[in-house]
Amino acid sequence: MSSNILYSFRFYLSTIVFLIFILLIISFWHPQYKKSKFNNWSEILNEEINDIENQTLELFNEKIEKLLKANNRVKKGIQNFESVASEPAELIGFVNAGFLNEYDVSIYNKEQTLIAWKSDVLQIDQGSSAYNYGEVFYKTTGLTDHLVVIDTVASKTLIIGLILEKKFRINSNYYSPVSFVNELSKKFKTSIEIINNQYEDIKDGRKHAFALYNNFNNKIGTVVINKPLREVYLNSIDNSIKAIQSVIILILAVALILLVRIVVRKKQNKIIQLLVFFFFAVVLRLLLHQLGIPSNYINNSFTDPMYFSSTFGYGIVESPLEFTITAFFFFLFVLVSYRYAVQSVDKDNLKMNSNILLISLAGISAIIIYFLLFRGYAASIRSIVFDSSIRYFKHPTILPDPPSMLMLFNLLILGFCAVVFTTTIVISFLIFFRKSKSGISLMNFFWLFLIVQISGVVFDYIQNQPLGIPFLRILFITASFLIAYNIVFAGKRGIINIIYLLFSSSILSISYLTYFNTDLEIKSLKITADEITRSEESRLEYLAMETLSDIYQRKDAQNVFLKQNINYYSAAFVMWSNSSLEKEALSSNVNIISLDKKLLGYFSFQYSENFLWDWENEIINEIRIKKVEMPEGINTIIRGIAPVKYNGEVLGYIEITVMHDLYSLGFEDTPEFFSSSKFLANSPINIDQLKIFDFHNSKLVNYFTDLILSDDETEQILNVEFTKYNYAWLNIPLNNVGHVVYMTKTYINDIERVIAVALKEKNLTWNLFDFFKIFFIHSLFISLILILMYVFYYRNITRVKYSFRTKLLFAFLFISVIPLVLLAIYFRTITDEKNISAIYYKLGKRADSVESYVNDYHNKTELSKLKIFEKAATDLQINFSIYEDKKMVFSSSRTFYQIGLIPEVINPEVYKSLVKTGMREFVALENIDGYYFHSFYHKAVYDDKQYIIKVSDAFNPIQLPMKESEVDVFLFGSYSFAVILVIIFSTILANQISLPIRRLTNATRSVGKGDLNIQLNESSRGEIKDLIDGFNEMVKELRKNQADLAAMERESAWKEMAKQVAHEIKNPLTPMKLSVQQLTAAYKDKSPKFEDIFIKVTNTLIKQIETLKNIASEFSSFARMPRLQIERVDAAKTIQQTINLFSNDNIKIVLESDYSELMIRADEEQLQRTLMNLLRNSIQAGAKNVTIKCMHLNDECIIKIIDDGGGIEKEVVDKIFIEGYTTKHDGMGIGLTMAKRFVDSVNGKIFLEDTSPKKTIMVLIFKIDL
Amino acid sequence: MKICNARNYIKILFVLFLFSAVVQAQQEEEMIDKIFFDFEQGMKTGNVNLFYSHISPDIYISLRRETSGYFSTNQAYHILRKFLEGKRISNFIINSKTVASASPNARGIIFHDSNGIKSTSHVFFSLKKEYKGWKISQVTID
Repeated sequence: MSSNILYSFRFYLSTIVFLIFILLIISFWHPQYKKSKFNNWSEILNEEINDIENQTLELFNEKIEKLLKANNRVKKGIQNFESVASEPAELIGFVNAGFLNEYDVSIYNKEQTLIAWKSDVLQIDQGSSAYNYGEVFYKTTGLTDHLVVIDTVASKTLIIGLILEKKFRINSNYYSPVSFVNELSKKFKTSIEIINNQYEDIKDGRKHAFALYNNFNNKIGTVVINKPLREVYLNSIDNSIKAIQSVIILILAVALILLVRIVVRKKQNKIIQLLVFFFFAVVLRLLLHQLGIPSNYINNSFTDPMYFSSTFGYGIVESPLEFTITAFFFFLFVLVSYRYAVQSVDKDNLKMNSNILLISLAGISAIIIYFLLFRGYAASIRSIVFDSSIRYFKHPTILPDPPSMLMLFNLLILGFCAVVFTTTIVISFLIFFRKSKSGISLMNFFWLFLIVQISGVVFDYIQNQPLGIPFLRILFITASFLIAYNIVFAGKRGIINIIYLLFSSSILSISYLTYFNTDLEIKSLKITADEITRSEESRLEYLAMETLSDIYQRKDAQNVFLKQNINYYSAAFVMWSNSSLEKEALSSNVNIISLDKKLLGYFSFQYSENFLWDWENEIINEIRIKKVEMPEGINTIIRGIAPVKYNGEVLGYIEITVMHDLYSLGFEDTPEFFSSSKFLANSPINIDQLKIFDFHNSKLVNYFTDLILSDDETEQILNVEFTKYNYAWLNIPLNNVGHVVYMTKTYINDIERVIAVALKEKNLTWNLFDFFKIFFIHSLFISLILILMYVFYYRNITRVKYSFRTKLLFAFLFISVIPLVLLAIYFRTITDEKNISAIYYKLGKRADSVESYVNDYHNKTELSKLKIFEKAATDLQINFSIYEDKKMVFSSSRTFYQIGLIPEVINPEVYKSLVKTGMREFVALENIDGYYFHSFYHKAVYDDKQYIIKVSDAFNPIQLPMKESEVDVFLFGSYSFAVILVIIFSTILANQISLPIRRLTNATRSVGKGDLNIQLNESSRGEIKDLIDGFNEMVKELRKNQADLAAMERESAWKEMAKQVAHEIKNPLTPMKLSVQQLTAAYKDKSPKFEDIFIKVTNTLIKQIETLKNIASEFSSFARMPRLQIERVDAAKTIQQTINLFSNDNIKIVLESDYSELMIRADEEQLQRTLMNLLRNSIQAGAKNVTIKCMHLNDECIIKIIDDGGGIEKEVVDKIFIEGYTTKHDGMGIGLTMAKRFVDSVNGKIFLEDTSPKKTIMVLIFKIDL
Repeated sequence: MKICNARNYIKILFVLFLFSAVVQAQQEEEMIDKIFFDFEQGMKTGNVNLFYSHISPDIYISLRRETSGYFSTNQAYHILRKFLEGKRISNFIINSKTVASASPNARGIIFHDSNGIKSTSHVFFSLKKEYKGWKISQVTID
């Protein structure tokens, strides 16, 4: 075990011990801590209450300050207006300018006439006059509670209100709640109530009350809180401790896993490593789930089972977020498996396996696992559609809400896991197959592909209920095989496969999602029919009873009778909207009845008659429910009444009626902003896409469609054979368009009722939109993933960023996509404008019709004007309102005005334009709670008096040739397709144009590194061809010049050297000559000193000979090779860098290595030059494919360069490393010599392992540097 | 004689038919009662597993001021489980039942404790005969 590993092992072990110790301490400390809190509860309670009180007052004061600031701003504005003597019409514009969006504003002149207003008009009533100017107080209107301030400036009185509470709630998509009380209750996790009453006295010991004071320090309300309970407080401590323990246990588990990983990593067997990884992933996931992470700590739409929940795996996918976490673990496991499989493809040291039985067994097992996984994938997507309330395709919006986004991300990851894992199975089987004698070949691969496709057919056949269609199955198998081919045969191992995998999994998953969504849409026909027939007597009785019981106990009901200036219509609506009736697609009604049994106000939903309780002298002291027998005998009407009591005395009565009307389908005439039934919101298709027919005893009595059935079609529907559960499915053309029809049969009294719900089959544009809508989101996720990978794995960002190809690509995209986008915007704008014109034209026509009708009738009849208006609405089937000056005097949709949902005072902008500036017509875009609609105002004269007709598309649906959503569908579907084509073609073109430049760039880089053997081929004509020819000529000239220069340098060097040698040799030769002459003279003279002279001369000679030797040594040192820079070199990296230099040559070079780095001791520059020499030799030998295998065996780094060039002739094999030997006509014969000299110099080996006309293997061996 | 025998056979067949109809009706009632019982026990103990198998694939759930709509069995399981966990149920009593109906139903009261405050909610649920027998098709908790 190395020191690093030992250190990690010790670190994890000590972490585990430490965490266990902490856990033990917490276990001992927790009960003590709780006990101390238990004993000091009264003190804690006081602290808690004080805290709530202080924070509430702080929040309330913030609201007051905000309101006062707005008040000051309006006052300043009015003063400015006064100074320039503006018209009151401009004051209307000022208060509606936008800075007062949150407020209701009303401005009165000194005669107390309303002169400017915004949103709802606030009246200065008797209650308001009790407060001073500038003093903030509570004001209750029909549907809201305001915090208001009344002030005066420049002889004008203004009243500004900030909404604190909306008292009603509707399940419409457009409803947005406002509640200060809920905000507080949520913040302090206890029930809080604000009583806007100065005199409220709370005597309940379980509650704590404190006063709310305004800016004048007057009490304006009382906050009542349920005192925090000891049990709840102690539970919260338990929860906090549990959360801490959970985190510690989780860290403990991770530390344990890392510890075991250190031990397991030493095992070479990848399968064991994979199994261990899988085990850890499962354990960790289950542990997270068991600890309630994250569901127990995050409470929003991401953890709401309504959006998605499945019972799979004991709840590990019980919500969208849990799904994401499970998918993440699966994703990790799948990635690790894939990596192991891809790495194993290049392994040479696998043992051969020839057992045919074993291969067959492995094959069958692989196919079974493959298809089980495939079914699991399809079943999961089915679950994503069916176990979810998210409607992925219903709304034509491009960006969905957060839970939908999360689920779409889950879909992508799920698809990725499925495709990657099945691809891994294919690769693994191919590896296993390769171990057999038959080897791996393209033909075997093709056979395997066919076998799997045929097995798919068999798999579908043996299943009771195959999921998906054969086309999708074939597509799935093909995708996994294509990617496996890319990895195993094409040798592509890089990021490109991840991109292929991501996009193919996205396309497959969306295809499955679309398929199952179509199933869901068809299923929704059944749910729609069930919804229509769901109600029956006992359920209606329950609803009536439940609603009355609730009202009976509510303080609001008492206030209706106790307080003055109550809008009883609003009060009835508030009661209705807060009851269970609001959620149901049923006709219902709430009446408020006085003690003397008179109707004070009511709210009716899809209910035209307004029956009153039949008292028959009975005294109502408790809730009564009764069924009303209707003369037709087929409508079920349940009515109930409850007395409203205060201190035991009856104040009045609330009566409700619930009706199941067989002649009404329950959702026909509801305006969009008021579509209460959740069923409608939850349905996978818009209700107006459905065609509903209601037959009673084979007679069509009711329908919800503009499609008229022919006799033949009616007959086909009625003659269908029902199952014993009284339902049937039918595929028939209705008005020559294919439809799916669901029918259900019920019996009520003597009536056989058949409900038929039909849905048109989708056309291609819709499907394209559906597909691209999700694909767009997936593309965003994929881009994000790729950017992350880019940031983490790729360092040379600048090179890619500024590359010629990238610039070309972006230029093409820019030029192509911009006009497309501009066209789309233009088309969208034009359609919008045309639609708006059409809406205004149609609304205008309706207003004209109303005016003509009213004027004609007025001349012919004595009827009152209100009666004439009513008659006009009924006869013309137009919903309209009439205003006199600013006050509404009639509306055919008066319910919404009566209850206060729409102000009865005219839109101030309209008033300014029509009444004050004298325009005749005005069109306004108005909104109710965020629901926008168009209103056409038309000035008319009736009885010599001016009035304004208002017709809105909120109450008068307008048929348009192409709705906004349909335009979006068309544009998004077709333009997305066009953009994808543009991207594909731009990429191909940019690649093609930039290829010669990229090749030239790399070739120049090679020349710069000293490789002058390079030659580029270019078949095209033109400037690029001239450029490349010029480059080739330049390199050839350089090579020639280099050779000439070398020869000249050599000659010159030799001459210089000879001169120097001669000069240096001359110096010792002269004394040597003189010495020898002296010795000769002494010998001839027979000198007696001959012996001495001899010794002296020989000494001199020896010395001069030594000098000559030194001179020779020095010249030898001068002529030797430059020194090598030996260092730690990453062989894998150097090989890859060398390969990159050849990226644009007409050759495919693949590096196969299990190792991201392999350190050797060498000279990096020499190693690269050697590799370049060898690769250049391969190219010159005509190779098209070169594989460089880099292995680590027995402390040696083995680099094999395998090419498919023409090979080396047998006769010359022994001479290839000899200096000056070459077979090329322009070669110098030094490349391989230099290579060998370098390899030898670092104690490595270089040899030719094999050569043939098909394959040549050159081997380099270096010592690994540990 | 033969006519007499034939009449006897018809009588016997008629009696057998009646008997089987009665037995079938009784079995149906027992099945419905079993679902009511399981639902009651499940709600009482806050354990959805006790009636999970009786939930229809298209159940309508309406929880006061919370979720409402049609849900799959899987969704219904988690929605009800989460609701029951949040409410801390102390008891549930079915106080009225209608068995002999095309849509058998029952009403009951849940006694629960939310943040230490004891309160009650009313429950209505009804069954529907489907392909795999009687299933809970509607649960309303107010």
